[in-house]
Amino acid sequence: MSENVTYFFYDLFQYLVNGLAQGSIYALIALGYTMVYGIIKLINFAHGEFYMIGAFIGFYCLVSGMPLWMAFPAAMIGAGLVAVLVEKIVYRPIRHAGRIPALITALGTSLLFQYLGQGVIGADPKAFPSAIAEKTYMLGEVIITRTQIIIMVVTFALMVILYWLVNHTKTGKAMRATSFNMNAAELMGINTNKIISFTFFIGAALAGAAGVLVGMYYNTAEPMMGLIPGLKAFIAAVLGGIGIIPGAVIGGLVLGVAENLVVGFWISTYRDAIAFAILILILLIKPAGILGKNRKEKV
Amino acid sequence: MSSPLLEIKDMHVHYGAIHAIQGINIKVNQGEIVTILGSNGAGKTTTLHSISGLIPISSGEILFDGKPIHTFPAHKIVAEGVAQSPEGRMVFPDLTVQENLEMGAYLREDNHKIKEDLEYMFKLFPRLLERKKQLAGTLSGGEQQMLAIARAYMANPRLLLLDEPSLGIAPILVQAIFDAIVEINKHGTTILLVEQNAYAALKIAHRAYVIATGEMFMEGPANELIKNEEIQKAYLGH
Repeated sequence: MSENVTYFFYDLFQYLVNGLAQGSIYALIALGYTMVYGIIKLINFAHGEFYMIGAFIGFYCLVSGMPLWMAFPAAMIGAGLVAVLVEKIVYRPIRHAGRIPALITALGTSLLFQYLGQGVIGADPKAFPSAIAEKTYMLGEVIITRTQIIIMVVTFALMVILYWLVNHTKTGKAMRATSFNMNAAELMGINTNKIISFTFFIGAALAGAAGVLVGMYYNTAEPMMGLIPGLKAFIAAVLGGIGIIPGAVIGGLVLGVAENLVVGFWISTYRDAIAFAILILILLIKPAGILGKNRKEKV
Repeated sequence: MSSPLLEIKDMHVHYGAIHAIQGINIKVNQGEIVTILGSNGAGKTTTLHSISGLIPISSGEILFDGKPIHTFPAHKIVAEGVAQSPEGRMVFPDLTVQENLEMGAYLREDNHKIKEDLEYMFKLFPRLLERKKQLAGTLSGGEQQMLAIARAYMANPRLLLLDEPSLGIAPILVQAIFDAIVEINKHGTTILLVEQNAYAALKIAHRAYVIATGEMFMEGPANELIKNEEIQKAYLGH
């Protein structure tokens, strides 16, 4: 009996570790969703493709012999620049056309990148180079891999940087001002177009980082890889409260852990179903998300 | 005679099919407080938004210090020296009082002078000093209004546009806010004030324009308009 309990806890901790690593990836992608939504109220369904683009930039950099410490920032910057172009060419002209046209455009952009990727790169999965020698560590019976540690440490570091950027820099404050009210921000002399471009850049750079980390984790990259993680990250952003930056982190981690618990203790094929079940539940119970609240105007 | 600081020439503004502003002319001279009066929907806020570049004009000209600014994006107009405290205050609720004021000075690099202006605003509105670490969303309506004015002042504008500073404010604070406007003007900033509280506005203004349904209805020195029978009937409630 007591042995069973011990194994239950080993299992539980194992799923928590796996879930936190997985959840870190969701959180990184969800941050971009939530930041872009916060600033222009657009659900950018093409966001998962920035993650895919980041993975492929990382892939080609590593294949060409570049070390990881160079390939990683290159993937982030590359994904960020693609996002800046997409915002400028695709979203900016329709910014005032309303939400539904913007949403349809985002879906179209997502498909464009997926199929462009299949056409240019090929639909077959590429073997992602193992940039670091994999090693496993045992904590009792709980296994944690070096890649998992890297995922969690890098995610944590990027979040600290993002936190500092948003809360303590002038540009970050201008981002918060713009997301509250674009006209009010313009009246401060803030070039809101620049701030929006910058927000797309940061969001996509985080997704690009996630792309490389996932490539390292699963040793594979393919043009459709952004679809499901993109949707999951969207769920994570809604779960945490869309538009709220810490919400994306909480939503991502909760979703990652929930998935792994369901897979471990219940049925592994329910991995994706649980994510959408969580989305439906949160929309029914607390549509504003975990950290969401309704704000009233003060008189 | 020197040219006016702000000159609006035959300005027209359309919202879709609605002809909101139908050819108005306004001049604001250096050092003045000028007020634009008119009932709800007359086009006062539209006029200020057009000056600030938030609403494009259909025809006419807006000259600031002799330079046409009506084709500039809003943030460039701030750089030219025109700041606005908008209707409804629009302070950034998730930023502290201090951060809101920093946003007002967004384009400035003269850190020493920024600090001086900040201290001047805290002297003028001691409540803001007491609450400088508080989130702006937690302030009362009157305090938010003070913050909105101070935030606009922090851009170090040559022309300060104030839209309905008395709207929705406790009467006891209205006087304090109008006193502060006079003080800011004496300190060297030209002011264009839009108000529904015509009496309070006419008392502090040098000159006034009255707009009715997008057209200029009357203009003149404030101390004359305040005695004008038509104005008294329509806007002063006599």
